[in-house]
Amino acid sequence: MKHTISLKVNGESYEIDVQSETVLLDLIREKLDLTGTKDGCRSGECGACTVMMNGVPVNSCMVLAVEADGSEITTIEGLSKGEELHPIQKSFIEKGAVQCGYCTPGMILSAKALLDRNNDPTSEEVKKAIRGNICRCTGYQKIEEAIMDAASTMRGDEK
Amino acid sequence: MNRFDYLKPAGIKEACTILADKGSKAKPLAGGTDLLVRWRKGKISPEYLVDLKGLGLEGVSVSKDGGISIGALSTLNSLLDSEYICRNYSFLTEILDDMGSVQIRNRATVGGNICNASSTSDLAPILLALGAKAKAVALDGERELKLETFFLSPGKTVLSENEILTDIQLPPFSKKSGAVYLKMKRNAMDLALAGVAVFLTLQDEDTCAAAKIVLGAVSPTPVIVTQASDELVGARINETNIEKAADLTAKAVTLVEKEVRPIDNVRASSWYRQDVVKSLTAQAIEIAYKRALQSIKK
Repeated sequence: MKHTISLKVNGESYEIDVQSETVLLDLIREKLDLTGTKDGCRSGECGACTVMMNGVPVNSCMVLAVEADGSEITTIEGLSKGEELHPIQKSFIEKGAVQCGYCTPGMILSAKALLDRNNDPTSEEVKKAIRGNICRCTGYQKIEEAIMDAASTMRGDEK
Repeated sequence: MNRFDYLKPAGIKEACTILADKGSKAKPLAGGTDLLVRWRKGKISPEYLVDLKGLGLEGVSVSKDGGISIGALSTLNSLLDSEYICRNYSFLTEILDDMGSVQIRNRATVGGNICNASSTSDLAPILLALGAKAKAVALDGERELKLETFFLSPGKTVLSENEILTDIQLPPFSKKSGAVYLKMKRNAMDLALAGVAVFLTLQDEDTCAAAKIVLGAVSPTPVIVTQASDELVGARINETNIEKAADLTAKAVTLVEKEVRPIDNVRASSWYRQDVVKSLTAQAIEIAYKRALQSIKK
C-alpha cells in the first residue's frame, strides 16, 4: 500500500510516496540520495544506519518510512555547515578515529546525541552511548578519544 | 519477506476493531525493534501491521498510593528520563540503562517487551518480582490481570488477538524494600543467558517480611521460585549475622536449583546456566537486602 508522508530531512521538507514496507534507511539512501547513512546488518545490531529522529538516535533500518511521517530527521549530511565540518567530524579526522569509515556516520550521530544531552561525559558514558555502533577496524579507543576531544572543543575548554 | 499494509488507527476502539477484523493476519506494531527483524527474517508474515503509536498510550503516571502506571507504548529511554522512576524505582533505571543500545531504547517499548514474551526479557523478571499488573483493553471492555498469569510460552501471552496491553502497573515501592536484577551476558548488546530478580521487604532491620525471587532466561517463561523465596520470609537477617544470611541464601539457592531445569541450547548449556543462577541469586539476595537496609536507615 502506498502512503504519502511528509518529513523534514536535514532541515529540508519533503512530501514523498512510500510503500508500507519501505524502511527509513531505504527512503534516505534510495529516494533522497543521502548515501552517508550506511546499510549494515538490517537488524538493529550494528548502528551503521543510525540517524537522528526528532532529536534522538534510532536505527533507520528498524523504522518504517511511514512511521517517520511528520518527523524531523538528521543524517550525517546535515551536520556540517557547507564546507565547515562539525566539531565531532573534525575531531574524528584529527584523532584518526576513522579507518574504513563504514561505521563513522552512525558513530558520529551517536556521539552527537550524547553531547547534545551531556557536554561533559565520562569515558564510561561515551562507551555506553556508542554500544549500539559496531566498528571492526579501530578498536574504539580512538573513537572514544575523538568524542572526548570534541566534547572539550564544544565546551570551549582551553587547550 | 512478504508485503504488508500499514494501518495506524487513531483510537483504541478503532485499533481493537481492526485487530478483531483482521485476526491472525494482523500484528500490532509498537517499537518494531523485534517485529521488523522477525518479519525481515521471514519468521512472521503479517498481512497488516497495526501501529499502536497513535493511541496515546505513552507516559508514566503516578497513582494515589505512590505506585505508577506505565503506558505500554512508552519507550525504554522515556522511562530512563522519568525522574519519578529514577527516584523511587532506581533499580528499574539500572535495568533499562543496560538494555540494548541507545538507538534500540529510543524505539523499543515496555509493552512490546512484555507482549513479545521473550524468555530472555530483562523487564519481565523484575516486574514479576514487584507484583506488577497488566491492564488490557478489548472490544468488550477492559481487564486487569496479574503479570504472573500473563506469559504462556515464548511469544505467547494470555491476550487475545484483538486485545491491547495499555498499561503496566507497579505497586508503590516501600521504604523498607530493596530490589535488584542481575544478569549474565557476554557483551553489551547480548541477551541475558540467565537473570535473577530479587525483591525483599524487611519488617525491621532484622527480619525479612516478604521476598520474591524470579528467574529469567532459564526457562520458556520467567519463573517465580516460590520455595526459595519463602525460605527468606520471616527469617532474621542482619549485618552482624551475615553468616546466617549466607546460610539462608545458600539454602534458597539450592531450592532454586531444584525448582528450575534451565534451558539447554546453543547460547548456554543447562549446567552452565545452573551454576550462573546459583551465583547470581546469592549476589542478588545480598544486594537487595543491603538496599532494603539502607532505605530503612535513611
